[in-house]
Amino acid sequence: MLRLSEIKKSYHIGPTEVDVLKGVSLNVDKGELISIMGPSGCGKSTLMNIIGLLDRPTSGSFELNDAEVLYTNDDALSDIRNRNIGFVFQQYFLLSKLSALENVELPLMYRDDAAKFTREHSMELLRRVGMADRAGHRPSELSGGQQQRVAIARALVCNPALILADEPTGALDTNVGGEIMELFKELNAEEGITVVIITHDPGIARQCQRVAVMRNGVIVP
Amino acid sequence: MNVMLVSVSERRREIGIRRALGAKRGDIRGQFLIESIILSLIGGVLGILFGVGASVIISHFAKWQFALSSGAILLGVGVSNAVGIFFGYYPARQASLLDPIVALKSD
Repeated sequence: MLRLSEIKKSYHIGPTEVDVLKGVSLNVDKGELISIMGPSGCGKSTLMNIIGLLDRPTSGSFELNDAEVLYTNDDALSDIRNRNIGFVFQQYFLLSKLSALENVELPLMYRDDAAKFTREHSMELLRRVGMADRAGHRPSELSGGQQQRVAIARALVCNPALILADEPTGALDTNVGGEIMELFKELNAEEGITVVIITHDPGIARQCQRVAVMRNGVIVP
Repeated sequence: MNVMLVSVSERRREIGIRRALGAKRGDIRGQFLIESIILSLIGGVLGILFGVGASVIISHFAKWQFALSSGAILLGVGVSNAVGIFFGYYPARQASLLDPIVALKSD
């Protein structure tokens, strides 16, 4: 599913060059539930941005579904994100002016074949995450855990093969965070969706089948 | 133009979210351009209503003959729309060029 080898990323901050990723190699198979864990500043957010095709590495190679994606143009990367990757963010990132249902449908706006996804499909996903009775509510009328559930339904709307979650429970209390983790585990076990969770929390990492630990820009074996 | 630029900086995060979910640069540019066109059109209609209303009131009290000049209306609305759309395009283009991660991180 994901095949990263020798991924390096450096930034110029003024005259100095900072190496954030110093050669990360990581394979993730289809159907895995894996967490990438490490302290803040270890480069895991940068790695997540690269896996999510939101950023490009300085060097290395990255295959997604057996296709090298590093030399793909920007429009094609947008398409790959839309079709293959469901994003879940720490701050939920729902649009405040849209209802829960409209937020779930948002990614469909960027597909030519949106017509084959019915409103019922989106409602079904809200039902799947236990939010069907809140379909008409705005994000400001929902709790953090509820917003994250809506965000997960949005991540599922294009039937992605991969869910990429960046500190998905970071803004939630332990109980609610636990429920969100259960949802990820269900989606992984029942639908076979590959789930990659970026976290600094060992409690979250422990619930995954595999943990990749990052330190100072590399994955420690 | 400032109004549109403010709307862009306030909406950087929205742009980042949309880009992450699959919007292409052209989609973002199109969205902002259409918004500025709609705003300009609404402004034009409000301008016509306000102008005609003010003329009616003034001509009533001044006992002037009231007459509408379609040429003047077209010129006024045409200029305001051209300005709105032209200055809508610039921030729309800036918005579309934003890096998705930079846009997502702005608050």
